[in-house]
Amino acid sequence: MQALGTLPRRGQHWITTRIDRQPTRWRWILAGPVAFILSILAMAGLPTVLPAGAGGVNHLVLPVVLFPLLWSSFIVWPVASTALPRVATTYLGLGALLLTLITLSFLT
Amino acid sequence: MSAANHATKRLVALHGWSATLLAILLYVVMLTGTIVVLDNELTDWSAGHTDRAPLFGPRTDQIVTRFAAQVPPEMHDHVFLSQGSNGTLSLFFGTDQPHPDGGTAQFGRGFLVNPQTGVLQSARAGFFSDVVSHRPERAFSHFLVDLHVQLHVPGRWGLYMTGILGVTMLVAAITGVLIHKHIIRDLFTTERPGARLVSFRDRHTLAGVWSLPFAVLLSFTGAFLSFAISLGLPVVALVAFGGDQDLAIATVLGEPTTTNATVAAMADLTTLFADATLRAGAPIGTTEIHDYGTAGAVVTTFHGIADGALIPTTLDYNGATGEFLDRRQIVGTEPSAGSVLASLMAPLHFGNFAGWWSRIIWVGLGAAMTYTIVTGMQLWLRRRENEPAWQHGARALSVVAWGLPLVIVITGHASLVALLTGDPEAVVPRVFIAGCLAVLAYGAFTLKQPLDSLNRMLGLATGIGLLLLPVTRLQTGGLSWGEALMWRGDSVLVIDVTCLALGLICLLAVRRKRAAQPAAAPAE
Repeated sequence: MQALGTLPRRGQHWITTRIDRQPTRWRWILAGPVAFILSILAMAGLPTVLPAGAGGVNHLVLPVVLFPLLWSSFIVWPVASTALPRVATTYLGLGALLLTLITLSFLT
Repeated sequence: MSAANHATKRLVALHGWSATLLAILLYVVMLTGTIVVLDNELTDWSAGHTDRAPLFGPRTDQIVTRFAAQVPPEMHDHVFLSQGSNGTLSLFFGTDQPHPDGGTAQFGRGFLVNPQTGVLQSARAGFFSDVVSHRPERAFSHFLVDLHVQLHVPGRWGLYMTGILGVTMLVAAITGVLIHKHIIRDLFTTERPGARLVSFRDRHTLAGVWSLPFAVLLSFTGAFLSFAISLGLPVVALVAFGGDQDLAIATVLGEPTTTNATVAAMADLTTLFADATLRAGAPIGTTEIHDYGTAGAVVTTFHGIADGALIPTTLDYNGATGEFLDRRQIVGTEPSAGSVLASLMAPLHFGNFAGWWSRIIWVGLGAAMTYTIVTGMQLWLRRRENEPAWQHGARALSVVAWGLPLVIVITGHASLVALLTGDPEAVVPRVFIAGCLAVLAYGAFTLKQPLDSLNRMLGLATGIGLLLLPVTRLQTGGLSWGEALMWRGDSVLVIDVTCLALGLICLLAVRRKRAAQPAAAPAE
């Protein structure tokens, strides 16, 4: 159990070490392909968790409306941030969460 | 240097590079976008007449019934009524058939009819896009709209490109906010003289800060409009509808389905249209009838934006009884926040929600954004004027910044002349491409001449071209100003006056630049 508890900390340490070695390259990767993939995943995953509303379409419209805004924000944050490992960890967690939501929607 | 300074430096780099990488395409989209805010007015201006009588008048029902009887019943699946060329009513009767380019499209017969007398002016058979879209007076405005919407790149790729440009502009706007620490003070910046680096920065800051909220609004709504159908719908369909795009479209658009295919007489369309006009508070633009001549017929009327409203109205009627069914939502079948949000996107992008006033403001702010892109590029190139890779950048910028308006003006002249001599829809793209090549060749051949001489020549040509546009319009059968004043030809007057004003501004700018040269030389 104790070994399992140290896994996230060890993972974060691994990410920090890698990013600190080549911060510019990682900034490009996070603001470029990662930002794009994450915004597509958000558009695909959000309909599964957002409320449909009275008209039954809010959960379909909102992710499409938010897509340009999310993509832009995902580009700007790694560039503006001074704590790149934190950005990378957040993106990784968000990506994993969205992928889980999408997979669950296919399974159900 | 502190971490915060490093972050600001990176944001400045992102702000510059995001716009620079796609500067030319961004400039094309912004300039054409500014012009096509007035696309309906441009069409009226090209048409050479004003439509004094309403399109849907007392004879509409009689006309539709007469032509419906002349086409095979299977072409009653879709009936489309809209404005045709020269003030005519366009009727299209069609059914879904395989299209040579793939998928299905409506194939049928189209008629152009005088809405007052019911006299047939022309008839065509073919696919909907070929028959109904054929309006010679729209050739110029339609070309500019297509250039703005998808850069004339076919299929979804054009929409992807303009969507990416929208996101690029949004990134530039967001980073612009983050790097400007004194936005309120920057609103009142005055350009420092001497054509120095700071002068370019002042110019860019002033135009950029004033158009900042508009840049965020336009780039956001533009990116949404580009991505909604081309990317958003397929992605949402994949997850929420197991990849079934037809089901996704039916859910999102709320397509009516036929419930009763029994043959039945249609309700009086003239009465129905009068009720729809009253209910919507705005005249009907186009009308669609599904399953004409059946008990399940649905008449959908599409209206403009009523006074005081922000979004256009679409109404559904039972075609057999004439009974009002519902107000059509842009998304889904029931009123919802999502539908309101989606329907706000187009009016906010086009600026067509408050008549002339909103459109004039949108044109002005669009022009400010276009100017921001040019001044941003000037600033970028000025900072790199000693770097070999950017040596010809300033010349390339001049060729594009002056060349595109010049080519658009030449294309405008050609579209007017082609209305008399041939098919403007074929002529307009050819003249535009030839014009672009000619301007590029001129830029290449004058490589050894000073940059000011290139700017002067292109500015002079654009100014003269703009001043001559009203003359060409008059000489090719357009309305005189007297006729336009008498017959409510506001569009003719507004576009003519705009051309003359812009032409004079170009000539004055060239003259001012020439006069300022000897004085500026010692300061350099």
